[in-house]
Amino acid sequence: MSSQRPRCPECRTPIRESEINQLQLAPCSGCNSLLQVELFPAFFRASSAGQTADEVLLEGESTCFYHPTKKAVLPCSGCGRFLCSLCDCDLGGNHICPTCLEAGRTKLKIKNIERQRTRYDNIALALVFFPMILFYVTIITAPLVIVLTVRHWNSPPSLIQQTRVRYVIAIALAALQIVGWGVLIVVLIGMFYAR
Amino acid sequence: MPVSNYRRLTWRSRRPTRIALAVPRTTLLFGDDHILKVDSTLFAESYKRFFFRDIQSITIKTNRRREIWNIVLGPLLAILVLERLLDTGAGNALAATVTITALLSAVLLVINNLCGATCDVRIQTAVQADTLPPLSRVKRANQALELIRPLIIQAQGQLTPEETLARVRELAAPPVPKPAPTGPLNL
Repeated sequence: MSSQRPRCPECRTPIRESEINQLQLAPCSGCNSLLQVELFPAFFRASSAGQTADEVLLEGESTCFYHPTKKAVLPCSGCGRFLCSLCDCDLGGNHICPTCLEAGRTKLKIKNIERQRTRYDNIALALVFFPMILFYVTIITAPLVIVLTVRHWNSPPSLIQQTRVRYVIAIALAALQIVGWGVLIVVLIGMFYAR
Repeated sequence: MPVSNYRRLTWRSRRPTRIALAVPRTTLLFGDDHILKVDSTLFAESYKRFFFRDIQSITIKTNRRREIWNIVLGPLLAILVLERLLDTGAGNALAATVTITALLSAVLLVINNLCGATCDVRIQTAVQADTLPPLSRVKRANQALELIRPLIIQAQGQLTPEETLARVRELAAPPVPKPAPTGPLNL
């Protein structure tokens, strides 16, 4: 459990018992800031010590794939390798090894461990809009936008804006830019031959 | 990550400071078993999860942000109104600009005060403590707590007020000193 009493985040004065779980603001005894503190049972829960793996005692006992001298306690749910208690990563009842955990994270196969996503839709929109300041750069960026959008069309979208509208806008504007360049080049060639 | 499992905790996203656009914008979502804090910059999002079974405490502390905005907007509005009243010879464009700016300031001032007290919300687990910037008003913070409190209780159970008090007193009590070891002959 947390070994310290709850404290005011401003002045670190321990919060009075009468101010805890009152569901209304009350002044802190130290700095008079209005505080509302809500404690849950996890605050008082004792933290369990980490498990240590047992050494292999008998010949023929199953050993951990990653620690050959440690006794295996269960197989990995992902790859089937035997694991000791040190290597066991418990994810909501699923026991997997560190390798499967990392693979699951990078390949987005395991829920709830993804730490970040790249916003390719915003990158595509930025590549469409910002180069228009120096319009001649768009001859390079417009095809790049189309390649980027096609390449990442099925990439996981933002969790907040879950639509592909930005991809559609980026492709449409990039296509317009390419058409514009095509028309410009044709006109310039026509003017050159007309002389 | 199944996107359909998440719902917005608040409809508002917020940067911790409005001045620096490079600072990530934070959005709060919640799923079946955790709160998801999403920090978004232009080209990337990063995620932080607070599982309901791990949340130890949520603290709401008022701050002076509302007063500061009142101090900024109030005099600005006063100056603009005064200027508009006194400078009757101003051209149409300037008069329109001053009027629009004054109206905008007045609207922002009213909204700032109608929305209620501003606050910082802090969430704590055993391994991390973090702020939740979108919960910047006490009213909004309490509405969000009303949403997630039942989920936390479902994950952790609930202590009665008497049990909570007893546990807090245990924490406050000084630790019992261990007796010093003595040898067979205490010489």
